[in-house]
Order: sequence, then structure tokens, then C-alpha cells
Amino acid sequence: MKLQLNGETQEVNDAATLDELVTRLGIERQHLVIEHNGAIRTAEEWSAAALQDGDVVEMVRFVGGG
Amino acid sequence: MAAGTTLFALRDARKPGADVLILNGYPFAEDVPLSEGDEVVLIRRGEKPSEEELRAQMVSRHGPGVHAQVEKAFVGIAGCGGLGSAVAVALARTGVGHLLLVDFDVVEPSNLNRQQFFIDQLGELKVEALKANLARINPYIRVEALNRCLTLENIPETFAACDVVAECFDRADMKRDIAIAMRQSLPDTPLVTASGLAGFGPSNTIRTRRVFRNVWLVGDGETAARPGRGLLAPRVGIAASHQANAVLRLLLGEAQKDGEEA
Repeated sequence: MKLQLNGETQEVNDAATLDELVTRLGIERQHLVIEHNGAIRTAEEWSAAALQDGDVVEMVRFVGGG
Repeated sequence: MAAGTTLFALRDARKPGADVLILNGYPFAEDVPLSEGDEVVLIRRGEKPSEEELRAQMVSRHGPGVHAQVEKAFVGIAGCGGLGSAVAVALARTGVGHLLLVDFDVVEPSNLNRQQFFIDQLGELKVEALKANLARINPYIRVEALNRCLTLENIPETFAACDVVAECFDRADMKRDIAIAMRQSLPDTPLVTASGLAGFGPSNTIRTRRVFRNVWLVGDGETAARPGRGLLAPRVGIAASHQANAVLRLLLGEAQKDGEEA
């Protein structure tokens, strides 16, 4: 399955949902915000958000300091 | 202008007793002849320029098109620490007509290493101290000081009327929450957020990019503040200036054109 991940095309297998994608990519979950096909998905929604070929996913993990 | 007019003659006619005479950007102590098209500024020390005088100076610096856009703009600043205080100062100097400052903190000694406050303001509410400092820069813009702890729930109502919002929090969970709240409740209001600006790493790793629809992110994306890697004035200032410039570019409709970069 090909995804547009943070602006780049990436082949991702073994990830049927956003939650599984986060796990596959090994991204730290704390303070992570995901936009999936133009919609913001909160952490509670990741396991129900099914991925399809061609989906556009943007991930931002916020870090402290200001 | 009558032929043969000099700098001193103009002073005596327009502002007798002016202390400082500036001709085309340079101060003059001696009398000199003036020519058509010269730009003269007459200053009486200690005298506050009128709103029209200050406005004319900004229009000549920024261009009439820019000033007309920014003077009618309303910008929200979420958090008035290292980022927010510097963003507010930059936008006040740019002549943004209406600013909303939101924070719940007081000025502490540890803030003075990077935040736009002064030692005689320790213990004051940050929003009130910042409002007072902005009034010393440009007394003619409207500044609202709101002492409020922002949450996922009250962010939408707080910033509903703003044209653009700058996220200037310190805590990562609040940065996450405002991104979610703005996208869910105020999706048409651009948000300029910041993440990854601690320490003294290279300046050029701090970037501005669009990450979500109507959300721009400033920073290197990874350098968190932690014990042993603090927040220092130069890099926080770089990030704040990126944010202020992104806000300006959004108000002028430039950032939207570029898509990714601001």
C-alpha cells in the first residue's frame, strides 16, 4: 500500500489503521497529532481509522519549549 | 515648498523648538537647503507623536498596501512567554491593529533570559506587563489582555473572532490541544504553531512549513526543552520571528499562495 506520508510517497505494509501505522513507524505517541485525508484524528480515533492505498497522512509530534 | 527653503526655516514654521531634525534618514545639527522630495522628520524630545504622524511613518516604511491590511487585522496570541512576548512585540511594531494576549502566568526571574519583560515587572501578570510594554511601542493599536488558562474547551470561544492565531505555549500537550481545537472548531482560522526551538543548535534548522490544512509549524520539530537543554533568547527569538513573519504573510495572503512554505 502506498501512502503520502508527511509529503512523501512511502510503501507501507502490515498497517491497516492509523494506530497500526504509528506502531509500525515506531513514532512516539505522546503529543502526536495526525491529519488523515485532510481531517484531524485524535488518538482515540486512530484504531478505527482504516488506511487505504493513496491516503494522505501528516503526523506532527509536538515537543515542549516556548 | 517654496524655493530656497532650509531645514531650520521648515522647523521654525512647522515645529518651533524641535530638538532633532532628520533629513532623509540622517540627523542634522546645522542648517541645510532642502530640495523637492526630501523627507524631513522633526522631533521634540519627550513628545509623543500623534496617531496620524506615527501612521505616516509606518506607511512610508511598510508601504500603504501592507499597512492597510495589517491595521485592520486581529491576531490572537496563545501564551505570552518567550515566543508570545516576542511575537506580540514584532506585530505591534508592524502595526497590526488589534492583538489579543492570553496567558495565566506572572513574570518570574527565570523568564528574563528570553522573554520581552523587564526586571521591574517581576510578579506582574504577563498579559498586563506585555500590554504595558506594547503601549510604549505603539500606543495606537488595540491590545486586549486576557488572564486565562487556555484549554481544549475554551480555545474556540477565546479566538473565534481572530484572523490568525499564534500558538506560543511552552508545554507540548497544550501545543497539541490547540492544534486539535483550532482544526476542529475554527478550521478557517490559520494557526501558526511552534515546536523544536530549545538549546543553541544551528539557526538554520528552524523552518516554517505548512503541516496541516491551515496549520503552519515553526521550529526544527524535535529539540525539546529539558533539564540541561534550556530555552535561550537567540533561538527562541528566531522561532518567534518566524512565527511573526508567518502571521504577517498570512494576513497579506502570501503564505496561502505558497502552500507549503511561509
